[in-house]
Amino acid sequence: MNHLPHAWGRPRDDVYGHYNPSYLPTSLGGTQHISSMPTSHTQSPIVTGTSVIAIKFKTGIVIAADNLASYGSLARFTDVKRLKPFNKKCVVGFGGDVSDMQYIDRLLMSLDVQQNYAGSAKEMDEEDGGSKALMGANNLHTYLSKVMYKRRSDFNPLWNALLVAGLDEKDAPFLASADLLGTTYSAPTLATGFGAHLAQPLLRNVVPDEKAVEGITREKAVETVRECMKVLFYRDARSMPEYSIAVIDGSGVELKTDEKLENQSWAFAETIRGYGTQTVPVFVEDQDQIRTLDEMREYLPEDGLSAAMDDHPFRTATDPGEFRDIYLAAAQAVERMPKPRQLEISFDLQVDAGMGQGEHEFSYAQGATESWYQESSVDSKVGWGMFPTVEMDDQVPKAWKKVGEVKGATIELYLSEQNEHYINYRLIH
Amino acid sequence: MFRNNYDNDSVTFSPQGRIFQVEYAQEAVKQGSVVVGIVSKTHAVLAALKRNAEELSSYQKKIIPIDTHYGVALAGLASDARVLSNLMKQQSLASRLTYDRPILLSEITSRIGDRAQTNTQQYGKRPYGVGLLIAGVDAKGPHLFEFQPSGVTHEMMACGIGARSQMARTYLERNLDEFQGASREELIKHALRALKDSLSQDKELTIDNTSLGVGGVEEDFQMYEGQDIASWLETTFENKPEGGEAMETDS
Amino acid sequence: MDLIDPERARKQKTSIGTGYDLSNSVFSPDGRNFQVEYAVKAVENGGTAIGIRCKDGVVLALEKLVTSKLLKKDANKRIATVDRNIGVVHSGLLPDGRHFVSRAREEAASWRSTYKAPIPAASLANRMGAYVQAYTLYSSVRPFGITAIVGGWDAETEVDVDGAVGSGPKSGSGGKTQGVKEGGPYLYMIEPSGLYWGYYGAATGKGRQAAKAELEKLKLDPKDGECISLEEGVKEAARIIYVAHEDSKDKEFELEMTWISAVSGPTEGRHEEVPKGLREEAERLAKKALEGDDEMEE
Repeated sequence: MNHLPHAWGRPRDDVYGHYNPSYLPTSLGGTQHISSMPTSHTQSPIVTGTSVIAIKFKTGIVIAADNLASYGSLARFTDVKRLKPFNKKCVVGFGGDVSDMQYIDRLLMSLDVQQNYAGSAKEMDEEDGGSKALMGANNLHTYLSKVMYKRRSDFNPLWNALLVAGLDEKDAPFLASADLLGTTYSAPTLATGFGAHLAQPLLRNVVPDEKAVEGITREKAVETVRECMKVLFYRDARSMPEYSIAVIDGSGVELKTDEKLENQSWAFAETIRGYGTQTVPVFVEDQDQIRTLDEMREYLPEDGLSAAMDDHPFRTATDPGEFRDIYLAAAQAVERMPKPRQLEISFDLQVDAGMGQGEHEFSYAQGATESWYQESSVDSKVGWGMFPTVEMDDQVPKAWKKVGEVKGATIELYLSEQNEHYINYRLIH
Repeated sequence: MFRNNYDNDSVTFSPQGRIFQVEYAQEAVKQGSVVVGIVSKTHAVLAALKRNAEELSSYQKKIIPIDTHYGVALAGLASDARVLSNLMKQQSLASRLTYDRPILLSEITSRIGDRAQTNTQQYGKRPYGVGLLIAGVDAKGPHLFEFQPSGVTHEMMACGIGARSQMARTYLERNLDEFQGASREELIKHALRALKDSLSQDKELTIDNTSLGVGGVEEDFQMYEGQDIASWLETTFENKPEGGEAMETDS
Repeated sequence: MDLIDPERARKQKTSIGTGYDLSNSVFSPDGRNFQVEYAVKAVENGGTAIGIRCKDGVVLALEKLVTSKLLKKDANKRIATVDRNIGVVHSGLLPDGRHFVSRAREEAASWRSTYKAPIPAASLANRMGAYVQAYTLYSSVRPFGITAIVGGWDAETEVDVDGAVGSGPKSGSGGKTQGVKEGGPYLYMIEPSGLYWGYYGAATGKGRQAAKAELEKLKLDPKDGECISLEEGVKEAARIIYVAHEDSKDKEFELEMTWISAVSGPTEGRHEEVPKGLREEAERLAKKALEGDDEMEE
């Protein structure tokens, strides 16, 4: 599903062609008289909330959502609480339309009033096994999914993606989603909206399956969710750094509604060169000095960096030796790609100010970088000590040789900080 | 029976504040054959005496399983019980469909109680002529509820309704303290003995005229009839002189 | 039918046999609706129910006669929650009471869906008064055989609109007014005729006379200075039910009590059962007070 709430439920242009707007109101491109127009319900959400994320741990659930309600791209309301607690055992997290969320919240309110007809939750706790008589999160989820499905079957959907988190009738952790189509899904980690793309993989790294839940502590779960909220704030433009987080376990619901993201670091943003795959030539050493890839493999450490590359798709080299290793590994990765190869790589070469030539020792065996460095036109123009960012596209070093192109791989290469040499590379398949 | 000006319909109070039509409906319950219900900490048991219209006819059904977790026993107009049990089945399914949750027995009991009440406050309707015992297990444990035609419902430890049921209630009151801790088997035996006490002299409990319904914690409500109850009847009443065990131990 | 004979009715002191008492919605020549009066008779036989409006909350209490040994103890609750902040106790025909409560719950829910806020006790009493009254208007129905006592706490703090998700403007149009105080404890009693009054202390059922006499001794009218506290109210309520039970001493009974406090109080503005410990303490004191009275009489 598309992560933009506006696109939910719409036919895709690339599949179905351009949307025929003739029956819409004239303001939206309609051409018909009002009396002949069909009944229509909500066609798109108006004020929206973005992702909700949640993760199970051994004895409970952690769920979080930020406090923003957007009006299109405008950050319209910044104190909107999108996590709603229910009867000490459940929390519902709402993504999507905020007014529909308010409607559902009223349903929850009246459901709660009804549940308390037979005695309040407080009184039930006093009785033996009282909390088992409370509605569990699974019961609440079933109810909400029926509401959502009924409304979508009426062609009048509630434009939301919900996560229901809490304890079930047997006080075991429960987590499931329901959305505007009435679709339901359950997993040990869940995320709606943008979070489904950005946070879910990170959550799954921690809890890959139901079995792994046993090994997760409350602290670990909270830390993971907070980290994900940070990533979501970095990359989701409809998000904000203030958020709500709730932990539900045997001791009840602990809901905090004005948390702030801590230790933000936007350094990664410097490396972003637009989104999507990019096609850039890749080079190896100059013909004179070049070794064949087979020869280069000799330089690989015994444990094999290629394996390391698969395991750690993002890596930073801090010394020249490692620089070389990674470079070789990258070259090897290129070799592994099936032909025809189309390598999409971006190289960033940065040299910070304040570095004199004499202070540099480029002792790479291949000398590739060194030779490029010396022959760089920037070098002669700006002189030592004032090197701006240099794009490899522009500054193809003589010593490098284009070996081919590989689609879907990105290598980012840096030289920066005094006497420290960083290479960042990522491989994206 | 002589006429009384205030007993024509259920929308007329007598000068004493009574509603005779409702009271008459309660009489219909006493015409039905006896049913008994008991709960322990872990189980809920229904026992019923079935009647047949004549020697060659079948026996009237007395216990109706409603959902997997509970059933009802009826005394009075069986067709009214069918109406109510259909309502209960619908409501029980609705609870499972909407909430994925077995309906609470207190909830379903008050639903039919409310339904019965409307029949006592509107012209052109008559009260239901049936009493029910609703027994089973829900999230709050084992339960037994009594339903009356007036719409009155009560949660009971043990109960008996129907013809000569006073005798059964006497047995139940005498043995009330034993029920809570009783095992499944003991509870069934108590129910059968209570049932037997309500029988007229010339009658016996047989595999043909006796019905049992048992629900328990982590155990679905189940009906036992015919050969299935033979061993219970045997072990409960073997070597027991007329009058039953309770009389002996008590006196 | 020749039953309806005005002359005969006027001559007779009793309603019985006049024919004017056989149908609801019919006036007798002297302007009475006998069916409603008969409905009141049904209430007069019920267990005593009382309500006390205290300084910081409302107590509802009920004498629940134990009609059978086989009844499950402490089950069969009769004081009902209508909305979070409102409770109802009734005396008379039990199923009629349940009907009343269901309707009250519907009214409370419909108020919420219209106004996005809990129903004030006064409005609920008004709507239920109208509903009960409607059951005296038609020959196709009979009046309610109950008297209901409605107790509630209207929040004094600003209550969130149901479903509100943000705080809204802090000042200006739509902003909040500082220092405004309203709400508090409310108590109403609704009779089979649909008539209702607000009360400081209300009693109905069999022991109502004795209960009223006791209620009148309490400091409940704010004009007389500080009213009794909720906790005192709980103890008084228990004692009054025990006093009212004196006349039917031979019968066993259970005491059922609920309370509603301010948002800052023990129930946080909700209608709840009085905690077991406190109820037992109140019952202990009630029994002690009764023994004391007996001794004084002797």
